[in-house]
Amino acid sequence: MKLKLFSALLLIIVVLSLLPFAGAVTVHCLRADVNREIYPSFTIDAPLGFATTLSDYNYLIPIGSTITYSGFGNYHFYCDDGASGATLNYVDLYDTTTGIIVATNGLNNGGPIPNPGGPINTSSPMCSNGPKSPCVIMNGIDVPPKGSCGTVLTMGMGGVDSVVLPLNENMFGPHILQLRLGTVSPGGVDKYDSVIWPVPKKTISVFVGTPNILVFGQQGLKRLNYYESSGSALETALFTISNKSKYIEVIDNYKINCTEGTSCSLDLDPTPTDPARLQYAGFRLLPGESMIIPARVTIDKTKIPYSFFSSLDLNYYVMADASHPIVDDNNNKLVFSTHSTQTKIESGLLDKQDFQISVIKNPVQRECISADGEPGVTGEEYAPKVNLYFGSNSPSTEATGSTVLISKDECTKTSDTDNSWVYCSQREFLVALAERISGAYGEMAVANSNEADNNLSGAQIHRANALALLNFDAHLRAQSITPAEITGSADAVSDQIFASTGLIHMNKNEFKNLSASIKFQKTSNGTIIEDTDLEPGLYTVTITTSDLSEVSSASELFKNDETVADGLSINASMEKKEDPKFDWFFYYDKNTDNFPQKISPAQNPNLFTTNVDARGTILTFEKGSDITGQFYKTVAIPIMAKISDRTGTGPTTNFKVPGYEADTFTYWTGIASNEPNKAGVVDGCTNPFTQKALPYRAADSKIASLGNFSMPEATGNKQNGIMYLQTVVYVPVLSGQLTISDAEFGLRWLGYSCDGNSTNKCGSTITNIVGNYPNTKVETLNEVFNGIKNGSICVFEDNSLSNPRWKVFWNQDKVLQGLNADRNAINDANLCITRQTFSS
Amino acid sequence: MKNILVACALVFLLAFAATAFADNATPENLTWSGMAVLKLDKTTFAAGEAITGKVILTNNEEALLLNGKIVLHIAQGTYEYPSQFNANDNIVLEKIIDSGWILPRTSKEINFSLPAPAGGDYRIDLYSWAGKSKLLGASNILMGPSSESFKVAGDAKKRVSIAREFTSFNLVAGPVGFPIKSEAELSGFVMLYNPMDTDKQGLKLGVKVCEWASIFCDSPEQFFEVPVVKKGDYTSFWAKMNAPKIPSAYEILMTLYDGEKIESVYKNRVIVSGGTAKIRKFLLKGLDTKSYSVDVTLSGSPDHFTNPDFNNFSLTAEVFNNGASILRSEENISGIAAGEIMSKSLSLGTNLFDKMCLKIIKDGTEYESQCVDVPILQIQNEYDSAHPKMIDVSWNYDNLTGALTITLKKEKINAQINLYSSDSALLGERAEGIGVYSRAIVVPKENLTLAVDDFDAKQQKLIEINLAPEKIISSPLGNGTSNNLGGVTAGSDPLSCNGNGIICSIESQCSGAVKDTIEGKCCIGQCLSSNAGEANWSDLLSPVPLAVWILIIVAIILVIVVVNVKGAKRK
Repeated sequence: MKLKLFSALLLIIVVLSLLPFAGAVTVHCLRADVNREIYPSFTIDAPLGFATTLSDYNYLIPIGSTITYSGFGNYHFYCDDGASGATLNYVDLYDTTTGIIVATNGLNNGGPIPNPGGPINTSSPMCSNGPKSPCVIMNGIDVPPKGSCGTVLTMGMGGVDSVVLPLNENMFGPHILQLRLGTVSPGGVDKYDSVIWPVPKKTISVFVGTPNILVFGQQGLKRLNYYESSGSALETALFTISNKSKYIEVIDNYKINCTEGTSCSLDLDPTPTDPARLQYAGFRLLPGESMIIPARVTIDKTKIPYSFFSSLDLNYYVMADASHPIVDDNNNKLVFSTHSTQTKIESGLLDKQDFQISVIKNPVQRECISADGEPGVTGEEYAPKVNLYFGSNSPSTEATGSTVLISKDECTKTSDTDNSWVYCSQREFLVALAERISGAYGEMAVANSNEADNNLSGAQIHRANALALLNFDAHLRAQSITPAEITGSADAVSDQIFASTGLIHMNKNEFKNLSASIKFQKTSNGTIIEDTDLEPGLYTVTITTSDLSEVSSASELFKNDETVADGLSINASMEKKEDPKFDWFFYYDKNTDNFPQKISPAQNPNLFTTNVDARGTILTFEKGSDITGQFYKTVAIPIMAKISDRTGTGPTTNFKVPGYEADTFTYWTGIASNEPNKAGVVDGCTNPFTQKALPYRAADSKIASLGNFSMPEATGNKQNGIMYLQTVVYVPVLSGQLTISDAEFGLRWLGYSCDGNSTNKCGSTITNIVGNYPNTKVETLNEVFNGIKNGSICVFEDNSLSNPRWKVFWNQDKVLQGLNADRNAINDANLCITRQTFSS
Repeated sequence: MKNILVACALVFLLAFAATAFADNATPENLTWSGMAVLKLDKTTFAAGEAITGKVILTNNEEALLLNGKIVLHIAQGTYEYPSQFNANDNIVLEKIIDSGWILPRTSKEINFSLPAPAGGDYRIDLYSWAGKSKLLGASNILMGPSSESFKVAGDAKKRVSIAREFTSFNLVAGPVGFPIKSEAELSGFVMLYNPMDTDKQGLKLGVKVCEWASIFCDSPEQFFEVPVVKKGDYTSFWAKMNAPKIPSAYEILMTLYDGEKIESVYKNRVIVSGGTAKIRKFLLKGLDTKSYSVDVTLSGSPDHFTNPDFNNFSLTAEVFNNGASILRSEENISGIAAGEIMSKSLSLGTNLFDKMCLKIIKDGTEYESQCVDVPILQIQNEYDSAHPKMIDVSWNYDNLTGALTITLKKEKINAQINLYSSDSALLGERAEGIGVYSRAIVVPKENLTLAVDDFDAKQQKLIEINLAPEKIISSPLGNGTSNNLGGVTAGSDPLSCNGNGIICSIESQCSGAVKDTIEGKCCIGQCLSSNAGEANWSDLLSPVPLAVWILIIVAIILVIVVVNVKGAKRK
């Protein structure tokens, strides 16, 4: 029984094993002999050169290059006795990493070949009519046995004798490209209809990417132990060079830049073939490698405390292979340049003030990007902390309807939840200081009275109150504490301003005299230093008086002639604790009490200015000898468009903006589509009309007649294709309204929805824009401040320039939240997730 | 019946097992992966000006390209394949240029200068070979060149050309290939066409019969007198000779001379019937290790008319230095069928040679011989220069003394040691020596960065030395062993591979993906101590070849069959 069972099993195995060799004579077949006579030439046209290295990739090719296969010639075919004599052929380039045909010389004609692909024309019969043998099955495909069919000698490739693959940004990354020969029978029903044959030795592995090197300045704290302010100190600043590309990159040369008279140098090559050669010139960085270049920084200790900037400029070239650099047409190395961010170095005396070397640039989160690509920040902690209106009549647009007084805690954060403090101008600080000194005298008078009444515990409390008033932290704008500056600031307090100070225990003259009598001193680690310039920041202020213990009443602070009491000396020592959270330009204007008056509205801004030229900009400032700025008062209006192929002849994209004459109306970003991506998944991120990624900040374009525009990146025939775009239009407040008309596509904005179809056009006028968009309009600085607090407005500081520059701009992402309901209502396309998280 | 079944099963199983040992070479192993680009210096040349340009060859194999040849044709007319039906094409010059050797994955530029033809429109066709392996097109059958057009100023000159469609050998036109017996007569019927308005006389036809292709031709050129070619007319004549003795495919190269000038070039092809084996491609490997071997790809007889087998022959590799034979290795091969392709690997066993010969020998007769200059010292120098060996760096930290010892190893040390803490440079010292250089320095127990500049390799080795006791180590630069308590003791720089990964030591395991690279198993992750983790079946099985497993299975089945048959007999 066991033997029978075993024999039966063996029989099954044998039969199964022989099945593949059984003749399937009813199936017709053909086979291209791709191992003979198919030797297309392969070329790479790379303006920046390409590279071959001993890596996983046969070729490293920059974006912007093209790959071309050409010269396919003719080849042998084998076929069975039923195959058509007029088979079509084509070649394609198949990306095995994604399963997508990325280039072909054929066209899809509705056949079984995945789109795109397929034959483009008929050709001479491929199979001769000689005797043929039946098909056999190899690798699951019916094929004729070799030698069973005649040779065809007049075959040409499908119409175009080359396959060209442009390597655009969509091709970034690794690819394995397989050149394949496709054959299709016009008979159309047999198995050989979609046979595709890889061409041997023409499968290549490429990495599409551009050479690059990143250069970083030094990060982290560096504390130095200088106890003297003479001589010089040699320090090391480190720059890290990282090759983030797949190429071998070589340092050609480099240069360090230092400002403000500081001496910086780089080491020379200790192998003295060329005495002027830098140490790391010619050093190679393999893919993914990093290296460190040290620089010598000589600090002149006679100048400290001071700060300066340093950066590293680097030139590098790229190896075409392990031995040769990429060269231009004249055989010169192609040299690329890059540079580090600027490193700010601060120096000082350690026994008086710690100092650090650190990267200060861009310490903040990149939460929003301006139309010009600048990284900005937003939120409560980045909002300016200044008193906008103190001491002056506010412009009508800024009026708050209440008198702004200075409290003793004007510059002081009194609790963790206290947000009412500001960075004080010198005048504001002097007023707060006067209130505190006056208050302390009052407390001391009470304490003295309590002691006289033998109420010692009460006296103790009031003495403690007095000390608390005289020892406090203050947020201060930049200011000088020389006697002349202090006197000047106090003298500049007009009657009008003084009336707004809230000081009740002294008159204007007493205030001036008190201010002038205070001796201000700057300290570091408790030791007085000569410096009299205060940078913006938080300071610990300590007031000491010569005879506070003798004070019996507040009135003794001043004599009858309104000068301070005889023998009274008041010292105010100030020691910096920390920098402002954000280096606002407001903090460098020491005595402006009315910023709205100082900031000029932009001159006659029109829609082109606010929406294109200075797109989304609200304020610009530059720190020169004085702070100067411009204010664009705008309303930000979010708009959504739905582009579709309504007629089957391509998307309709025209619209009008009556009276608007510039070449660009606005910039559009795609957010949703119904197009599958390369993997066949509808993730909403593919432009159905161009097969590329959705448009990002793409400009529409003017067409012939006045006020007519067409939408961007929406040309191509894609029946049933749908793509959603959105934009924010920044309209000057003074314009009052915005009109879009005759749109051949769907439009949506606040309170308006028009789907558009083949006959209707969409469009309307948004009137009373200020009233309709109260949360995305700015007319006052106060609204700007609030916008930063609530995240709808961002600020960017560029301190890489000699004169730092600030730009305040709309946070487009936040503004576009006004379209949330419209986005959520999309049911005929998929939202692109990456655009939802970074939509503008 | 049972016996038949058993026998069938055994045949099937043994046949299946045998396939596991078969050579896996495929036709695609015959071509050479690379790129050949033709660039002319200009598109219009003055009368009499040399035609200059360059060919850029890229060797995309991970092996040395040897015996490189480029073939340039200057032609008038339109290129077509196949060529024998194309009357509108005339090759007026064939130039073979030795492109020598090219390092793996590198490029080489070859400048050329060709004599100027008379005025007119021309094109230049480029073919490229690596031995008998095709890199671009196939010059012996005029197939698949890369072409560029150019113009020569001056008066045009008409030429007498070989009329391709009417010229045949043994009645076969074009480089198609026809069978012939060894040393049998080759009857060339040559037709010429004279487009000029004057008769042409004094022409000579030179014929070479070249084994495989004209690039390897060392046979003498036979000359045939050409009768007068009347103006605007055709003239024919016979060119007869004997076929070669050794079976192979031969290119018949015809060159029509007018004195020293070439009027026309065309080709035919003949297959000398019989069994043979051809050396179609050879890859010299071992530049990275200086242990050289050659992988040879063989094909069976090109005689696809009678498809003869070729049995009991040997493949030899012999290396020479200064003309003297240094070493010879041989592999006996039982047989190869026509159309079959197989690969063999031969170790060369020496690292000092300047020439290599590969031969197919049977019964004392050389059926195939390819000798190639291999100036291995020069090649190795260039390879080493392009792939400089980096200095080895290791370090050791003594927890008691706080001394960090840095050790450099390289044949010749020309380096600088830079040691940085988070806020200062701790060491910047030149290191020169032979073999080993060691330096100890007391350092704070914190995270340090060691940068060793190798001035000969022109590279910097960057290593993080994580000594801070409280820090959980993350080592983006790779290096160092540690535990969370900071008990760092020592480390060495792992070999990098593929740009992003490292080569783990034998006693460690990769925490991430492992890719095969030329440097070895490339770990995209961290190398972990191998005593962690669990063994898996694939690890246990992987060292045993599949064929061994198949044999074991076959043996087990045989035992079962025998037991069953005996059992049945007993019953």
